[in-house]
Amino acid sequence: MTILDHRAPNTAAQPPIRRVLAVRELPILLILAAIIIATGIAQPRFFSASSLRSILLWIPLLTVVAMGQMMVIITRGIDVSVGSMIGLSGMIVAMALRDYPGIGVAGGAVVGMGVGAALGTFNGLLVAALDIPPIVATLGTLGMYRGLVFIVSGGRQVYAYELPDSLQRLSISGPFAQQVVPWVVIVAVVAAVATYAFLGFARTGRNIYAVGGNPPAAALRGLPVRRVAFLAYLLTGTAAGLAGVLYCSRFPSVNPAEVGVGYELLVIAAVVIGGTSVFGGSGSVVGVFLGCLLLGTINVALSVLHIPDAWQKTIYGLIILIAVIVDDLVWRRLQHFGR
Amino acid sequence: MNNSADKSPLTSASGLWMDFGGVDVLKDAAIELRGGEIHGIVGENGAGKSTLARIIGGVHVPRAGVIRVDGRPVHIPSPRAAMAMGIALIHQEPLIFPELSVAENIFIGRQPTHRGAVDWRRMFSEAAAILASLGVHLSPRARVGGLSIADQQMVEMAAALSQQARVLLMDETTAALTPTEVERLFGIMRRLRDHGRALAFISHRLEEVFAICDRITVLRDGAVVGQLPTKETSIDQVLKLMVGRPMEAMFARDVKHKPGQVLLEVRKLSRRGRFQDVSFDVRAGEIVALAGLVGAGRTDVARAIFGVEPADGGQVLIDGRPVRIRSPRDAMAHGLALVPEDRQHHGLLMPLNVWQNATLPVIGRLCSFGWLRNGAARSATAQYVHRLGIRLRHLEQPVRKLSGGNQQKLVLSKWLLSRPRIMILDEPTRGIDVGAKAEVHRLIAELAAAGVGILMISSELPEVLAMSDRILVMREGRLTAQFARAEATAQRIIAAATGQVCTAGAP
Repeated sequence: MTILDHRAPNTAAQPPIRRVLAVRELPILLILAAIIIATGIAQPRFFSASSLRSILLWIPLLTVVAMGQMMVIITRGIDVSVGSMIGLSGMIVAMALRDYPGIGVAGGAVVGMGVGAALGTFNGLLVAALDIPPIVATLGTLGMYRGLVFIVSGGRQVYAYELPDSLQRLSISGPFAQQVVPWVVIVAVVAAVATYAFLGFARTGRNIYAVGGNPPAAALRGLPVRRVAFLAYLLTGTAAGLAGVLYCSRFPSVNPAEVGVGYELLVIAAVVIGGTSVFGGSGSVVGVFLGCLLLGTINVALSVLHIPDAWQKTIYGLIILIAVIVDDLVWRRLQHFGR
Repeated sequence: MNNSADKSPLTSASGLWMDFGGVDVLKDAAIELRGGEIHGIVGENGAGKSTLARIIGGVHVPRAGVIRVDGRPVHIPSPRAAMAMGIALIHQEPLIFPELSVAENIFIGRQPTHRGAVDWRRMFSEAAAILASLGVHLSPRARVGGLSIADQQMVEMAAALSQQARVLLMDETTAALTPTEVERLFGIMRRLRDHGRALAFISHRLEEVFAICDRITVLRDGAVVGQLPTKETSIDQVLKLMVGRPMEAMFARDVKHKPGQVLLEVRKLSRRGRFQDVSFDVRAGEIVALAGLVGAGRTDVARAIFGVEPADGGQVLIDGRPVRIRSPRDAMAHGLALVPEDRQHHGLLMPLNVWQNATLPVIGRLCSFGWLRNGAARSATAQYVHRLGIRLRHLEQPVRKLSGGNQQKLVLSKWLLSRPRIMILDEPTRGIDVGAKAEVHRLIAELAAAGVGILMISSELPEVLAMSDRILVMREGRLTAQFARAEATAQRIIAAATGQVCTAGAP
């Protein structure tokens, strides 16, 4: 009994090949495999522990926020303020740990998620209570929260040496032998598993799909449409807050002009590449996780191939577009073939 | 059903009055829905059938009237409240969650849980039990978006029954079904009836109503004109009740002129799933009415001719020459104009002002070097505003502030500015008041007299009978009858539109 059963059920009595073809995440897996193989052929050094580690370090921040963003997009919304939410909560966490090191990493996480939850609440109220179109509301808060990053920090950055070592260690050491899997990856996995359980097994989680799938029907069936939308933004803010903590752990300094900037694009790209419908009503944790993995792999592949920085950005964007288009085409073909 | 007569009604409504935008759609309507009985609600388009069902189902709140459930007066402010009282409205277009499974569509928001987590196994088995009790063979795990409309309706009914619905209001639920699917639905309806539930069945198809219903309520112009046990009545009698209204004072059109040459000819026009093999012609100076029930495919034919949703088979000829119309732009280039039914969405740009709307189709003619000459546009509009008697404060007034009748006249003037040779009018007087109606009729007659060929889609029989030279009737995507003005009667048209063989004869 997995999530796949709920979304593409109907498959229990079908031959195995059709069951495989009916897996929504299949195309993106194929794309991912193609990129890994192509990069490996061009630069065999790509198949190394250090590449794997780079990828593993790159994706947690993205994955945590993408879990929230996916829920928002399933409800037919969008949250473009996530970059600034990561920035503001990251900045506040860094300052808190610098000025009050006694609170420890756990205290920092509470502060980060608390700040994120407050920012998400504000977004949620704008969208669910005031009926402001999500793109407008969160574009407004994108600017507003970024401004607050500068106001709160007075424009000064927090340096790594000012932060407790235990925070940095989250990105370096892990619970397993060889320390190949750092703690930040564990955090991301826990977030993904929690989202999986919530969306698959909580009534409220199921309501997110219903509200996004057919809003008028959801209202007629008596589902709390507004509360569900509000919750999606609240959870996204909280996730962005957690991502702010991960940011402080990973980067050498927390600079108000850099922290979280541009993450909204990455996060939305990961969610969409992961097969979440921008028309609402469908999306899966597994798909979005693969979307994050794909973006991380592309990122590391481009640097392993020594592609100049300006070109990297262009190619990166291009590959995102191609991935979305190919995913859709391949999926439709497979559906046709599977009939 | 044999003892239904002595049962008190599960739900009843009386003295219902309802209006939309000042037009009364229900006038003192009443109905009683008893357990163990299927109650048919019939009437022409716009007679108030759906409104009646929606009031009981909590979608609309009536202006006046009493609704009782188990004899107690109740207030039903929402579909949710209706459901709490055991009343469910089943729609023609099922309200489903396409991405979710059958089981979740039935149980959404009420899923069985085990320690707070949705118990999928139990939900699937409970859904299977409900579906089995309905006699429906559907996998509870199937994705609902992939099911046929008929199966989606079954899911909606299963959802209603899982919430202990005792009264089911079925609004045109057979309209999109195949005959086999209709039979299956009837089987389920009979089963529910025999288990003591009350069902209301709204349908345009009288043969269906007579096949399944125990009692029939006939509505005409929002009022109940008959409430009869099916056994004691006949299709002919019901038809007579449906149409038997006195002719309203209608614009008297002078029809002494002779139609000119054929302007528009349509040969075997088809669009898959919408209409098939539609052939007719329209001559200069002629008004041809296209009658039929809502959903018979009349608007689809109009949209196909005008290139909005092009046909996939057949031919359109203008002045005897075959033409290919793939967009409204092509159609306009051939002298066609379409006045759509839905003014709000297709006819006017609501936020723009009067002259901006009126001059849209001819904007090219009013431009110099790509720049609009506002003065010319205003004076061109002013001329028609005057001619059509459009009441407005000034030409800069946003059109959404105009009344329905004036909006409709503005839509007409917009197309008159483009000097069309053939006009297609889709329900030209729907939802406008009597005075404006007469003016629109006068205008249409003037256009015809000036040699414009007119194809008029109308669901209002008096309008069809008073205005047209010829009447075409469509039923379920096909042309089923054609009458000259002299041979047309309301009953014949209704009979052709509903698929009845008319034996009542001309009155």
